[in-house]
Amino acid sequence: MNCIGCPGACPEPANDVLPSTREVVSIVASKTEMSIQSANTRRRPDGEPTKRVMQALEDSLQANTKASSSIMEQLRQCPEAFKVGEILGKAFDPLKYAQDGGELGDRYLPPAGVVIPPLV
Amino acid sequence: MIGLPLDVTFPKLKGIRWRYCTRWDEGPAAVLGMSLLRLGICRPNDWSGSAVDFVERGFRRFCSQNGAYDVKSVWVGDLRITDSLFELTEQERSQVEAEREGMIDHLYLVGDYEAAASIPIGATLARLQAAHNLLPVAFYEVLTTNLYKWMRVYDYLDAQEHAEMWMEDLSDEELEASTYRKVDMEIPACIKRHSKTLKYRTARNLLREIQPHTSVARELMRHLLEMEAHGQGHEHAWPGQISEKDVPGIETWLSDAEYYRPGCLITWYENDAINACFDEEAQHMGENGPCQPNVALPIHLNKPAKELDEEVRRVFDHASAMLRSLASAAKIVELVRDLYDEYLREHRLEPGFPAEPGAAGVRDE
Repeated sequence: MNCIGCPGACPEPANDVLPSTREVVSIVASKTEMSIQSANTRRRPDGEPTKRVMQALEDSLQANTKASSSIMEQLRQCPEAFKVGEILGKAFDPLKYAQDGGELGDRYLPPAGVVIPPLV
Repeated sequence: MIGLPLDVTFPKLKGIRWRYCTRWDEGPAAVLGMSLLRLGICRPNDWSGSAVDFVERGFRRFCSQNGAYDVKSVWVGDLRITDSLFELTEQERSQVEAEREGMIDHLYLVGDYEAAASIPIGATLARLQAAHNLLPVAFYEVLTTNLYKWMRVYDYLDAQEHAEMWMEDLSDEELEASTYRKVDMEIPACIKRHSKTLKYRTARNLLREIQPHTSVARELMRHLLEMEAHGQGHEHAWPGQISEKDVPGIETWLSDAEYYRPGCLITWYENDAINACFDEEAQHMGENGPCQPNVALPIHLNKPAKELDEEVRRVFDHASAMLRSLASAAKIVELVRDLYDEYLREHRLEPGFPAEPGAAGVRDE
């Protein structure tokens, strides 16, 4: 890269004069190479935020990979949990709908997953 | 009677993102986002906590830096990064996601147009002919070839094909009254005479050499040469170029789809025979399935970082060239429309010419 030996010779383009992708890429590539060469001698204001975001993206990718098999993982680790859930579900069944005196079809318990807004 | 205000307050949530994406969206976006960050297209301060938002912010800035605003002045459509070549309904998307095992390994850069931009070029060709006899055909050849890099162009050649097909079944009487006959008759002599003999390279050299006297003609030449320079080295990335090896299942997908819709309509004058043929064809576009997008470039996410960056760079270079080239084309189209409007005004002012508002004076953009 031409820019390695002459930092500052290739300034960032002004916002109104926009570089092509190739230019953007080459500017970034020059900066990366410069920062690798002089990592011990100069501060890199952009290095830490970039690393942090790269890590956050890596984390969201990992979370995505894990999430895609979370049910299978839970089932593998604790198959009894599903049995317990089933028993509890059946125990609450009588409470879901109105019993004696109530109108048919009225729910006492909301369906699973419903978010009820607090009323003041 | 005015009721008392209800004692209800709405909570204000701070630091909450406006949009949340499913885990299917975040994974591929994270892989692409890392590549865009390495290439400098996304910046650290684009990060808001979501990989999809991160990619979107970088991509939006990239598009506006490459002239998307100018392009939008003429073309209605979109350039998007998506996981599917066709638009899916919510139900279809849920079904695809339910059947999917693991994270998708492809994203696509897709470009498409909602409507064909009207380019009534007759008055412009007449103006160019005043400068040089070959200038209209050279201008037409270079303009259409460069538009073809980014979109399907509907012009007199498509209209001729459509007209020939329908004329086969017409009687002599019907032919006499038919619009189809006019397609051939309305082709300007300057185009008809030289279009088959003038090669692209010669046409481009002519544009570089000829110095027209009028400023509008010079401006047209300048924008066209700019357009040509931005698009150099690029070819039309139509979906048919994606191989089965590259994206398994693509052939079946494409065989169920219709040919892509035109991004522009080049007529001599509005409401001429080309326009009539286009209207007839447009009525049936998309009837037998979704239309293929005009531009589709795959991004393979399951590659080592260096190779992925190369591919993303290549795809974004294509997007940049497309936007810059179309931004120059938009300036040409605006000039062409101005010249057409001038032609309309001049002809209405002629004594004896009926100055009635006709459909030709109304441009539906």
